[in-house]
Amino acid sequence: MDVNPVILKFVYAATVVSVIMGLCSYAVLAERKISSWIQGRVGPNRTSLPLIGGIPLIGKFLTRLGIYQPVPDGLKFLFKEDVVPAHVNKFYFIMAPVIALVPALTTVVVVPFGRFVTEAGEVIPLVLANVNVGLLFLFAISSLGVYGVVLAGWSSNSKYPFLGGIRASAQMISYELAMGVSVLPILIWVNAPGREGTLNLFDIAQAQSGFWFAMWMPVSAIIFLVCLFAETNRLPFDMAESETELVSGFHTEYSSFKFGLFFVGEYAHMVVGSCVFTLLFLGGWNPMPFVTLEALGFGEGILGAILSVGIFSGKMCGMMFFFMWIRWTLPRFRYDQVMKLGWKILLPLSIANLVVYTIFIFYLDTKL
Amino acid sequence: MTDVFFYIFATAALAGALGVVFSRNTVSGAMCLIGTFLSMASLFVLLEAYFLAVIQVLVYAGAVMVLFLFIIMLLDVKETAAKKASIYTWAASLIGFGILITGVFAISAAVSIKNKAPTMPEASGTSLKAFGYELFTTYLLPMQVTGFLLLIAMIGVIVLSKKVNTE
Amino acid sequence: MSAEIFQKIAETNTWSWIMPELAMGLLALSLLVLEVILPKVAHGAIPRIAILGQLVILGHVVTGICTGTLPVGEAFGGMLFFDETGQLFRVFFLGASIFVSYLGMVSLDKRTLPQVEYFHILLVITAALMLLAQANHFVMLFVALETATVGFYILVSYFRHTTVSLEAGLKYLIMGALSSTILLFGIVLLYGAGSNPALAGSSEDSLNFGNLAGFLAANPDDTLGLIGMILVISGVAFKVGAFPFQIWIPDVYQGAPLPTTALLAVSSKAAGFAMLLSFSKVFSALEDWFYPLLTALAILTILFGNFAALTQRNLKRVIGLSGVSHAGFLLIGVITARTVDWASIAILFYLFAYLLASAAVFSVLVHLNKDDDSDLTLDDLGDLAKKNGFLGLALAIGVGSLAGIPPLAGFIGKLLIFIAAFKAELYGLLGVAIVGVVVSIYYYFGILKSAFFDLWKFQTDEEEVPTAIPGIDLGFLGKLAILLATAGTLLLGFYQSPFSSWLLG
Repeated sequence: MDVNPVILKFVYAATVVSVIMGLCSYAVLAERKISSWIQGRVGPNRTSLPLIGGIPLIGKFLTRLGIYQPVPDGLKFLFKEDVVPAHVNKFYFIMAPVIALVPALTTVVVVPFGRFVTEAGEVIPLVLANVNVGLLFLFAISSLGVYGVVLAGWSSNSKYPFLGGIRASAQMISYELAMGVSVLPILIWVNAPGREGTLNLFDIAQAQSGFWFAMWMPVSAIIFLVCLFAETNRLPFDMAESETELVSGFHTEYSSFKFGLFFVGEYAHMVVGSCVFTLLFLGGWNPMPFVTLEALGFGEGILGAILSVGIFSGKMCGMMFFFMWIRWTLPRFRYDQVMKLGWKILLPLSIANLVVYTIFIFYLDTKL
Repeated sequence: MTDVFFYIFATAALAGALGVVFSRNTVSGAMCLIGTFLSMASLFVLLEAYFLAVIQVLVYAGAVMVLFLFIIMLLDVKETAAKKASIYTWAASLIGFGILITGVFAISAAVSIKNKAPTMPEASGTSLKAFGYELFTTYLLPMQVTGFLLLIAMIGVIVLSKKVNTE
Repeated sequence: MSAEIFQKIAETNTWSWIMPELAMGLLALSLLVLEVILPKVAHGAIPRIAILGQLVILGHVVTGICTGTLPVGEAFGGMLFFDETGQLFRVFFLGASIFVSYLGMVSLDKRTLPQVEYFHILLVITAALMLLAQANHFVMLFVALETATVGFYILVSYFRHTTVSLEAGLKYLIMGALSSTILLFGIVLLYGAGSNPALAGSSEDSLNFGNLAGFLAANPDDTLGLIGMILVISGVAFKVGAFPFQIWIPDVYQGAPLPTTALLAVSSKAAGFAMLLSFSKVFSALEDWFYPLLTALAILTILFGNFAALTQRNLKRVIGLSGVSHAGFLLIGVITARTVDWASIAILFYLFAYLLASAAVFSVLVHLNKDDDSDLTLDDLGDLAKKNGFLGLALAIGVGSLAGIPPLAGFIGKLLIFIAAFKAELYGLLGVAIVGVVVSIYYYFGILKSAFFDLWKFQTDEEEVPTAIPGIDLGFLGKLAILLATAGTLLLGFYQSPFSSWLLG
């Protein structure tokens, strides 16, 4: 049966989005479990669902792990009272959470999560839209996410959310520059003369069959990682929320479902960020440096595809763990430190890094 | 299909531009401008200038307008009250509108608009690599001059905002 | 396109041909470095280094012109075109920049403002204008023009502790941005028309002046090209301050720091005419529209500039509005260039005369020891001749040359343009121009009158003891600068044959 390709695209998109949403809700659980583990607590272990929770042994075990926790967490967002304070600018107040979430979900479109090799040896990327300018598209769309935070802060029409919004916009601009410059060495390497020019994330991942980029461009990787933390507003860079100073920053006035959207948006950003870091620096679906799936004999067919998705997801989950680990380990920066780090350390460092690698790649390309 | 999308995005771009001009609230104006930029980027996509589209979003919608909003919010600009237009304003608007209408008619009657080539030549800037080659060979000198432009703009901002002690 | 084509284009990037511009850029950068590495006490030397460096570059260009060793032809894949007019514009912009550097040195020394940045931006502007005069491609033209314009925005609001300077900066920014958009929109329309493969004469690189002229010649009735041309001319009319786009001139000239006013009056205007001269070749196919448009602009500009200047008492506003009328006279020159082939030389001569006269006038004004040079009125010139006879004489020569009094250079400049207009049988235009000159005599003599003859003073009840009038100390550099400007004005008035014979021959 032939399915209309447009409908098929919709089905794919819906699937990917729901997977991301599921990942987000379980990321929340992981966050709570990891924080409790780091702090020597137990974490959520009581929530049980009727029927499934009642299954002998397994049900009890899953309850202990807190597997059902995201369900009531999500319902809680839906059914609490939705307060819209009288002093807010209603239009932007309602728009802001949507603007925060939409870019995060849109960027997923260009993120490849595996590859499928046909019998003929043709490599097909598993991605919703395999566009040539994928990496730039991702940067462009995710940079729109800041409007959600800024507008939320402004439309709340009260002091602390406003400060949060202002901080978010300044921080965003400061770190986007260093982030963009830090990936340029990779793009130069991937686009070096004689190679097919591309900014496609899939091709960048495929180019790491030997060294992973994190190994021979460690400075780029570190700068990118730091900027990723800043761009996703995660601790130690959560200046926009910063509950010790700003109550809870830009979403102070938000409750219920609108707050939930911000919450999911933050985790969706984190998921996408982890995916991108994996693709750019950690070799994508290559199991180990210098070892590809093809070399292990899992090149063709469904099995190879499943393995590639599995390896990719594993690395992505590792990155998510790293995000949470940092959150519960490092204290928050002061705001002036954040600005200083962005403009006086990361930006010059990334430019120096670019110059060094440009010369190095030129040398590699012409002399070797 | 492309035509439908063209009209949708062109209308959105125009509506956004009008919104910038007519909105009394500066933040709304800025948001309308972002809408216009996004619609323009969509039009670039329809023209298959993907790189340009992405750069448009990245630079204008993603960075420049964030700064705009930042400034607007820091200055805390209030909504401006409607001003009564003087007779000169009306006359000027009328003349301007007349020129606009003449321009639109003249352009739509132009020979070069009416004659369409069966196939358009491929623009050299569509693929990223070709774009780079073009930039660093044909347009190398303008690009270097642009570097100086950005330099003096930066120095200018520093000079104009640095504290001066004027005893 | 394949890599070989790109390689071929890259080979036409002959950097040695733009040596003067490169040197200007490097000099500008080195000034910033010098500020960092030199000890604080030696910072006063930096403006002198800037002037010295520019003199060396000027010497290089002038010897190149005299020995005929400067290259001629296209470079940078058609981005630039080098010819004798372009070389003379180079000399012009360098000369203007040197004088403005001197004015800036005097003016900034009186104030506690950052100094080095002023010269840095000035040098970059001058380099951009030098490229602009030789641009042969709209991309190059626009980028160079924008570089200069952005620099002007900064220099206009440089005295940022005074509100007038800031106001002038804001006005110039808004109006300048508007004019840039108009120009750019015109360029876009021309590009769209010129690269339509369905039409004859289209090309892939349709922003190149030669290609565009070819396209317009093949499709002279294309309204898209026509509207593009009108918009481009409008954008340039803003730069020269021609009639409907002159509205910014009085306020910006008044508020801007004195050296910046001089730069706007001389370099910015000349840049506009450099552009118009090259456009008259590009749009030669559209001459049925191009020249009537310029004629209307010229008539209105001359009338407006002269009549508006009559009632002004603020010196910088007078100079600004008189500059508008000079733009009108120069527009006549551009129009006559259609039929009279030496008219472009007349324009250049006029510009050089204007440069020297303005240099003399502005050098005098900058020594008038006023804290705030935006409210410099005719009254401030009182007793100038008594305070310093040399300054008075220089002012008389400068203003006389601007007014076109024989035997000064300004007179010859106007005469050349009028002869050209007469030859081109533009009698109506000539009539308007002569009316303009007659009117202008009134306000120019107003300036001279307050400098020389305003002896009557309002007497207060308590009779002040007439004290000795404080003299004005010029210093060696000041004397030299004013001497050069006045001597140049006199020399070009008496003895212009080598200049013109070299150009004509």
